[in-house]
Amino acid sequence: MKRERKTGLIAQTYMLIIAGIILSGALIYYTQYRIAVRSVWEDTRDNVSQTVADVVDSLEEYPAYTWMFTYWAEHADEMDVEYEAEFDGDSLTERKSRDLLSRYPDYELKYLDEGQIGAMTPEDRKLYAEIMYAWLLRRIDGIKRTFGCSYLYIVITDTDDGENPYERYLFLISGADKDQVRGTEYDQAYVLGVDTEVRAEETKTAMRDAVIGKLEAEDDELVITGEKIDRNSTKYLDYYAALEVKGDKAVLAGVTFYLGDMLDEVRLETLMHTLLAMAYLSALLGILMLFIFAFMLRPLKRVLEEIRTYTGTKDSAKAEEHLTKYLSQPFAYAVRHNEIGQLAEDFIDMTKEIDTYTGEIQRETAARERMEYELETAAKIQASMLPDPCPEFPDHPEIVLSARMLPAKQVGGDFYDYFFLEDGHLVLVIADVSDKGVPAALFMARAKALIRSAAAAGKQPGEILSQVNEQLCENNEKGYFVTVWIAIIDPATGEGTAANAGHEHPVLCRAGGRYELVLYKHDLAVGLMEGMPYRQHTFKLGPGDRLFVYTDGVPEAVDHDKNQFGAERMLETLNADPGAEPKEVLELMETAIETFAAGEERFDDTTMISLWYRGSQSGKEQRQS
Amino acid sequence: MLNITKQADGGKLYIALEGRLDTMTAPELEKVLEENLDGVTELVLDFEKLDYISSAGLRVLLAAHKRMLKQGEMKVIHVGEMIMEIFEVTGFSDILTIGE
Repeated sequence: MKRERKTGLIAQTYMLIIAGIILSGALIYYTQYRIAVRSVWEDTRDNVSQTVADVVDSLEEYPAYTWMFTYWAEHADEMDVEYEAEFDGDSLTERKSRDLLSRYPDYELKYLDEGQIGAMTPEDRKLYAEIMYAWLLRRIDGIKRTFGCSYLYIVITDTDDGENPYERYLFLISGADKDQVRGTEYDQAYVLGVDTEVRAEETKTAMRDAVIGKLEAEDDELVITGEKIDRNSTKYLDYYAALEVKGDKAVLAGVTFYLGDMLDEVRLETLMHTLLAMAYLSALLGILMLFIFAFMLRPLKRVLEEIRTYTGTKDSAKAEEHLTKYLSQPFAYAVRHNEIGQLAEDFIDMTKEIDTYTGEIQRETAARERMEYELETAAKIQASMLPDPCPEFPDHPEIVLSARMLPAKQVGGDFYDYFFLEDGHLVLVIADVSDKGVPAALFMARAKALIRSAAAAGKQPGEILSQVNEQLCENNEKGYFVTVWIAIIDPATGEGTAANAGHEHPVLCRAGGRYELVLYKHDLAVGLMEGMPYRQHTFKLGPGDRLFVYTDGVPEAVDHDKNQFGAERMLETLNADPGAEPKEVLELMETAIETFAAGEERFDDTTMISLWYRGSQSGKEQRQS
Repeated sequence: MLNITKQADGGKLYIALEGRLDTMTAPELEKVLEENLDGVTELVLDFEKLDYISSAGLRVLLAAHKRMLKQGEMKVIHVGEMIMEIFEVTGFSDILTIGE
């Protein structure tokens, strides 16, 4: 009964832990990344605020910056702007400012107000606007460098251009650096005067919101709008802030930050953090696993091994010794106090119970076997108590007889007996004890012995039964009784005396005739009641007469439908061949019963005696011939 | 199957049997007799509807007979031909009081 060993617990636990770590990793990565991206976005917002604030500060250094916006927008095509001025003393802008100062020696160019500018000649105003542009451009470039934004520009747009406000914007000034050159092409830092269509609706919305914010704001508060773009999927963030709103025109600062590199960095960092967390988790679970292994799996495996060994050997003492020793070791302290320890203890108890039961079963089996053996022996002893079934009588050729006792399953209560008395008379006995089994067999042995001794004492059949009845009635607590037919025959003459204590009717066949039941009134079975009289009657057998006596096992044999064999069938069987020898008669009867019963189990003993009286003369003649 | 009908009238007990009195049913009659025979001086067993009696039934009958010998009398009435034959063959007809 060896089943496949199932040792998957450790592997299953490991798999569970690994799956848990991977799942935790994914979760950690996702949440960490979301948080990191959010903080990057917030940092960017801060940067934008500062960038715009710097731009505003730079502008406000010039009292006439509003005038400048207007002038630049209106004279974009005429302006002669020096874009990448090197302020080395000889630049165009420096020469222009020296030229202008020569005409207005008292002016500090930077701090001129609109009145002072308005008093200048148009040529000088243009010169001034060009100088301011170059100066401011340097500041804008510097701010762009400082904050590392991708685009930094100032545009002017219509806020109320019929049905299409914010449809176009005119670039006034853009920050540039070595990564982004100035020009008029897409993706370059647009120079003054580039007039572009606003493509994205989000941009228009952001600009409008910025203008509205500026108009509604108090205390020159900066209102920054934008982030028009989904920050998770796109790497560029656009922001707008309105610097000046005048009539239907608005001047806005635009800032764009490129987050691509930063997001890659964030992703990498998040991954590193996640891996670190997973490593930490693995270490933690590894330790946990170690505990599980030490205090659960290994002890469990140990107990299982003991159980398997016990299954094979049934050696409970060894199992107890091993497990007790294992549990008493210092490192098994935890096991003693957990369910596995309990399992081991319960198992030990169970093996003891199994031992008890096994012992009981063994004792019971031994007892049963002994009883069966004793029953077999009893059956043999019983059989040996019966005389030879096919005897030969050299001294009494007048008599030919055959007897048979077929016990039912157990030892039975039937018996037959025959013997010659000292005076040469033949005693024939057939009897049936009222029960089966060992008690009946003992009762039968007693009855048989008592009958023999009474007959040996020379008593007549009636006297024999009376005497045996008195003896068997004594202390017959269980109420056993025995039906007996007994006859004493003189072989020389064929004369006989018979008595019947509740036994079946004998069957007689006169020479040349047919078998017939001999009906007469019987006496009470022996052992039932004290003081009963037992009658006897005489008869005479002529040469060739045949006698058949039997127990109720013959007429009461049953077939499959519980039909009885019956006296009629018995007589038919006998009369099929009235001249058959005793031995053949018994064989025929046995065969007939077996055929009738057709395999049904015999539940009563079946006993028969068949006798052929050949007569004194013919017997001798036949023997001599 | 055996049906047992009993009627008690002072010291008189009347028991009618119907069916078969064999190994299976004899203990039923034995129990009824055991429980009801105290103080009974006259026991009447009616066999009018009894079909068959086996040796186990005869034994119960004999036990009752022996007990009634001590405390009164027992009578078996309405014995059919078949039962009578059994009584004859077994010798019970000699010891039992068999009435009309």
